[in-house]
Amino acid sequence: MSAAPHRASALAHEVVRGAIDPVAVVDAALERIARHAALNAVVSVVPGHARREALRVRRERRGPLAGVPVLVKDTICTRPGRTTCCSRMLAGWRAPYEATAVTRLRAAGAVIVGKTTCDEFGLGSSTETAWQGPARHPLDPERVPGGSSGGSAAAVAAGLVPLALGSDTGGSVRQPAAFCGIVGFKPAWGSVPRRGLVAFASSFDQIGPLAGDAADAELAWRVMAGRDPLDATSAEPAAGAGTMPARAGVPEARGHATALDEALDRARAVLADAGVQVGAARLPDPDRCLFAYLALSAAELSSNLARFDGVRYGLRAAERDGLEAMYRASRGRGLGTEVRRRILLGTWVLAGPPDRSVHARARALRARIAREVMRELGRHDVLVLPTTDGPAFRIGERTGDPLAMYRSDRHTVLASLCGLPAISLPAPVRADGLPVGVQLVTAPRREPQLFAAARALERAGFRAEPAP
Amino acid sequence: MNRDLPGPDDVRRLAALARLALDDDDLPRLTDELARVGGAIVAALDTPSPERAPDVAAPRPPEPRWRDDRPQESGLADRILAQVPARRGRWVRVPSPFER
Repeated sequence: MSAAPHRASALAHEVVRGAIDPVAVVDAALERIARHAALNAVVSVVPGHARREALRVRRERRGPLAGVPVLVKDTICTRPGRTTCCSRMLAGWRAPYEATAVTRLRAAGAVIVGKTTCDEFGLGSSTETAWQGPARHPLDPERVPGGSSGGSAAAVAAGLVPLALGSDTGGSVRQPAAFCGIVGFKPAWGSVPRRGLVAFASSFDQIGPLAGDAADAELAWRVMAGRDPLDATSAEPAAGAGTMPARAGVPEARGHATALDEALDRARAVLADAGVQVGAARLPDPDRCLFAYLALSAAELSSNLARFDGVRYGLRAAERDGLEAMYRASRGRGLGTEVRRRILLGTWVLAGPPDRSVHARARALRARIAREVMRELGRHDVLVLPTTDGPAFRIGERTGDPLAMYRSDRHTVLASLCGLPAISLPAPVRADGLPVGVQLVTAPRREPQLFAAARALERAGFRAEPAP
Repeated sequence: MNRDLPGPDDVRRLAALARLALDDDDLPRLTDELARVGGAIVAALDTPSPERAPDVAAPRPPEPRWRDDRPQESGLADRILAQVPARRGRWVRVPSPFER
């Protein structure tokens, strides 16, 4: 038996042809997870279940992800094992059903080995708000891995597993992928069913893969995508292999970290060399996008998290002064500081007359932003943007300043507001010795072109370094 | 309250609406944070866009049309009967389900 490859597609190929034993692959992944416990990337493992699944794969030896060990963000329901959303509110909770995306991965041969650390209920950009403590960056343990899917990104970057699932509401797959130097893909809204993803902001949420390269991200997406009768918002994705986009747009306004400007210039040059017509894209101001996103996602969050009241779900306080007091005490104790802050913000956004509230104006702004972006996607097949303003920041650096933390997402929310597919690739330059990323954004159903452009950039150096 | 940034009393009311216990010690910090974040949101929403398009995502609700609250003939039956292939008075004629 040969050593297991780092890429999911290559590993599955070896398992199918019998060159690698999936049970040994799963055992090795569990051993790496235990050895890298200091990363705090993984909150729970299911070794018995994983070995049984690996035995099944050993018998069947089929599927595009045969024997690939996968870690799943703790906001996505899996069975068996716990789904806690890294919140005290759901400590020990076991989901009664499995997310459709997970079921489809397992049907393709993937073996779920555990759950990854994330910001509580997916709210955050650093994975510092997890009840179980912060996940750490694989290259510098004093820094954050990004968030909210920081545990998934750290796990793939550290080589614990070749593939992990995250969820992206405002950038929670792409931003940690950029910080950790791997690939993160946010599918178009609706292309991967959301059944079994604990809702944060339903009009933004999407499950997406974090992987070592674009081919693995595309493979996982194709396995998970497609209409699900249990999610009325799901749809069939575009099929077929993609051709290179003919036109790419890069925003003119710069002023990022020098490394990011250099990364964008390199991407522009690579695409131009590949025959792509590269022009200037006029995109909405990232800060306006950020605050429209912040208002709308907080409003949806305040509604979605109302169910965590100690009766329908979650920790119940032993308060005996009436039902309302029990609700308040349960939510006050079960939910962390950032979650409570955003619930209050969302409640404020929703207050006021329906036609003049902050919510109504933010919805109108979202519609305007979407029109402006779609107009640009009429002129360009793909847009090239920075994923972040810089590299991973230090643990604790932004926790005392919510606005600084929220600004971590200012480049990723554009695709989220418009429901667009976007992929973050590691740039061939570093900032402060740490990875940074560029993202490609396109229109829904143009994913094959997006992946073709991503592969071209990978060949020119926009690819992940081997795990340390 | 939607235009004015939240003060301490507003934050207490929001917490009650959201069913969140709130320590008095936390109130000044939360009020300050919500005012800063809310202020940034309102400023972003109030910034004129280079291209002001109609707000189709949030149209104003149409003005309601009022009428007296009394029973009246809708005229619906006549409109339906006018379209049927065969009728006798106000009855619709259909083929017999039985062989003759």
